[in-house]
Amino acid sequence: MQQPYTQDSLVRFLYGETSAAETDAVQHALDADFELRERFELLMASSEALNCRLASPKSRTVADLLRYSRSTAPLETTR
Amino acid sequence: MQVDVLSDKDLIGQYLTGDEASLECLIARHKDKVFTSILFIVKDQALAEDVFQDTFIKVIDTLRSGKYKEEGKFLPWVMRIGYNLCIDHFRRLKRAPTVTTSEGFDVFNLLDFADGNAEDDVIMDQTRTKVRNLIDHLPEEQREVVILRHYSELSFKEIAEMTNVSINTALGRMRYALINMRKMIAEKNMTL
Repeated sequence: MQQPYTQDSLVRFLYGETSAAETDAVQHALDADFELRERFELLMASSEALNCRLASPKSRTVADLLRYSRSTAPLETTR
Repeated sequence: MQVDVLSDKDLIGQYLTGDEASLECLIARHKDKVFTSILFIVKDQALAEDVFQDTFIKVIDTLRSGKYKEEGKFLPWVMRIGYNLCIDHFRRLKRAPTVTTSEGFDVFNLLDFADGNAEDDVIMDQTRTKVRNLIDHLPEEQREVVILRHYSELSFKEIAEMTNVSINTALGRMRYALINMRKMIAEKNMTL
């Protein structure tokens, strides 16, 4: 039987990039195939392991950018 | 008008009419994703600040020149600029970005993290160190996809375009990265 998904479908499914039809197909396959579900859960666990708080640039860096923008603004459009 | 509820496209439009607050909102909206991605690529706080600044200076100049054509895709466009500046930097240095790992240098200790309290920081310190180790030990091409997908939140299609590979290649690299990370977690008996 031809599988309605590929290994890469699992990755796209994990990151919410599957179409509606593909989502249904993958979800159905996961419900029906214990081994596939185990593989998917391992991918999901790895993905979740990457979650950490994002880093921010220094506020001075952002302030410098805003200053650059103001200082280079066309005179006629500066508010 | 509250600028923080406007779309990127609307903010760009307002910025080009001279509304500096719109630029401030655009930067605030995307700075952490862009900065984290740059930092994870270059692995150096000071260099990441420089590349981040150069990225947005180029964004500002390009917007003002009227050459920005990617309506609705602001973040991928910004990330492409940032990514290319990172690559340019490493080309200039003639060394690959992941030849060395950051052992002995905890870049995460140098970061400004927003919205945290002391208790969160202790937990996040441990998590960040583990995440950093995981990412640092991935092959370069897998690390690249992980950073761009997970932290920049670019789609696999956008990553494929940015890195000049097919979508299937980008997907395959992500899949192998996740599998490799799982192996590392198991081998080191890590709890995340």
